[in-house]
Amino acid sequence: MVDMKGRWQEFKVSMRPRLKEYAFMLRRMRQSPLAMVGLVIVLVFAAIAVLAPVLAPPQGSDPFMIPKDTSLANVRPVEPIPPTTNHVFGTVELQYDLYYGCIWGTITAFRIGLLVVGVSLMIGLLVGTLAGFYGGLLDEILMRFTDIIIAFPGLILAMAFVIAFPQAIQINLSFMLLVVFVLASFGIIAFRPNKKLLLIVQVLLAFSLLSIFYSPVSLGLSLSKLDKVMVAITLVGWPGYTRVIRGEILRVKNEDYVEASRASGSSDSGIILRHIWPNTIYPILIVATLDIGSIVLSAAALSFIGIGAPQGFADWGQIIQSCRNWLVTPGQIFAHYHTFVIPGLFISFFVMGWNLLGDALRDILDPIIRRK
Amino acid sequence: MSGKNVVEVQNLSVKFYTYAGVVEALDGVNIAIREGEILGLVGETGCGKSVTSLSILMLVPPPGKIEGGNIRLDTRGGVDILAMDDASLRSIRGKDIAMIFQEPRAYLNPVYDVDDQISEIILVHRLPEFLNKAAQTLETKKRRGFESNVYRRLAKNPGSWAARFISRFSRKRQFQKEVKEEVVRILKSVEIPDPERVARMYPHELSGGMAQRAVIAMALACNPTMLIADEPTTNLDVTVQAQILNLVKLLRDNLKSAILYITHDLGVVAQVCDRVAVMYAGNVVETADVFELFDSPLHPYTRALLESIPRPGKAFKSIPGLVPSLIDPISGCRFRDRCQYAMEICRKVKPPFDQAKKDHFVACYLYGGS
Repeated sequence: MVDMKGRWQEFKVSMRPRLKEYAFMLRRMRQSPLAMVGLVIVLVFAAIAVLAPVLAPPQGSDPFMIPKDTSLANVRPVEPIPPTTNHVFGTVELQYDLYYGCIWGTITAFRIGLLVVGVSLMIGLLVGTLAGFYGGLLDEILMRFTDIIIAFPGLILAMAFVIAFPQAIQINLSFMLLVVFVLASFGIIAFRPNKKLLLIVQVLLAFSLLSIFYSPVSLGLSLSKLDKVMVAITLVGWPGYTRVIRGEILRVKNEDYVEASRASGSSDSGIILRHIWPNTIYPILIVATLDIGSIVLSAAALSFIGIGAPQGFADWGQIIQSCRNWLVTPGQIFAHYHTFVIPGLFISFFVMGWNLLGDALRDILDPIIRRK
Repeated sequence: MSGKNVVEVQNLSVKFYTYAGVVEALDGVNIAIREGEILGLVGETGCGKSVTSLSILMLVPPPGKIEGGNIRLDTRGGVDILAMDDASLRSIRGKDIAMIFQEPRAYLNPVYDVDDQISEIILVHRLPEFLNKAAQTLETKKRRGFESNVYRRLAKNPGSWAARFISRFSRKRQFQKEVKEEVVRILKSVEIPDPERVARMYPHELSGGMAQRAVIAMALACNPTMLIADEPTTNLDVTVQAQILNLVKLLRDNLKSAILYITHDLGVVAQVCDRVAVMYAGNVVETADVFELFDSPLHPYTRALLESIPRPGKAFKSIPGLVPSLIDPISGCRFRDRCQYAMEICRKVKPPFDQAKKDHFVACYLYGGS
């Protein structure tokens, strides 16, 4: 406690280059109006998501289910009504409140975007690092597998996945153990070549392989419709990251400082954590930021087709899907314009915000064009 | 000055399996580096100098394979480096044998400052030492407590998950202070002015000479018994080169460690080295004391090499012919096609590497041999 002031000084001195860097980034961002627009859009959406319970207080037990106006439904069961004081944005088919759906849909959009990108990024980082750093046969196997997935058109493969997934998955416990042991033996081979440990794991692996045929133990895992969409998009999305990461790692692993680190006795994991990842992660973060928007768009597309979120769920794509029948009403063109224009605007702005932010980040973080 | 051999390379042969064919990069190399000396390894580009140095650390890059021979390391009781497993190799690299590279700035990671890069090596090899030291300092200051307990626990078993987990809850101030002090001490020992400030600088902020000093400091972080310097002054201008050469000499005198100095510049050899080994096309052809070698070179290649140093007032001389291809190399002596003394036996059998005079080894039939 004595030397608090000294420590604070020391901290300030050590943080100075970093602060300078952040200040420079902010200045660059302020200089580009598009970047500011992107940032503001994303921040506004974040504020909406955080304040959702205040802006639109939930009424049922599940806040993500849009409340239905039953009194209206008695009068006009199906046809949407335009904006009124009770329903600021109007209602959609079956009298679901559009305002509530748009507000809570923001949370859904963030959840889809961040979770899918986060998980695909992690898978991509793991697979790309193994393939790029160790090379050889492992690289060949992993990259051919990713090539297979890339070879399919993404959205169509995701559709196939969503349709193919069962509502509840029964996972055989032996099968899970088998997967764990296979991964463990890969890990041992890659990171900790220890014959004894490998032998133990492989004996266990053989046992789980044998027991897989008559094991009655299994775990149930139920997936909601939205979860299925997220899993499907993740399964389609990770190969893209894997490729980018592998390429970056191939570039960095031949740098001289990696060799210097090896010559001074660092282990593989130490080299990856200390030297490779810090020098590869920025381009990938930019790709990820750009992807958050487009992944929300894919999820909306799946919902629009009708295989995404269930009816009444607060998801922009689902809301637009439910007004598909009211795009054109005979006699009155655009009578129900609010049902698709308002959620459409939400989606467009969300995607645009992330794209502008990603572009700005690329300009700011790229060491060559940033100083111009 | 003839101490014991720190590292002995015997009959080392390295082959590179490329698409064009098998390149016999090293063909029975013999070198011994003695305690407290600077051994210069001289030769033209592509003769295998760097491959020799990388083999000593077992870092020959992929298409290359070490095919035979052995490398004895004295500090570990004369074990053969080539027969070691990965873990013990890692414990040797940086600690027993350290390396300095040609392009200092490329060998520093751009995202870390100098302090981070030097302490990384300290943390890899000298972790328990510093943990104990920090704990001791705390205890002498009557501040035995959670922090010192964490140090003792970690020092006892650095790999233990429990100890590592508990250590996350301490900020490890004393330990970091000790490491930082050590970094500054090392930087001072390589004659860096204002080491506290330089420790916080990033590689792009350093000048070439300063970066090379920082790389040397990294190599010295664990007091290695042998230092390999792979053309450390090639990309520096002459005044900085002179400073670095003086530093290398100083290190030999102060640390008593053996230095293997790789270069193609005979002027540098004359300045810093105690003994010289001359390489030609994957072979060591001559080893001698530096004065002996410059005064009375024995091998025809060494003689031609010394004659081809440009001197004012003398016609420029070069060695006729070309370096033989190392894919399917010629039989016998690899220098025979360019040698004016070539005999019949030179075509058939490779000349043995024998002692011609005291401490002067040469691989040539002109000086005995069978």
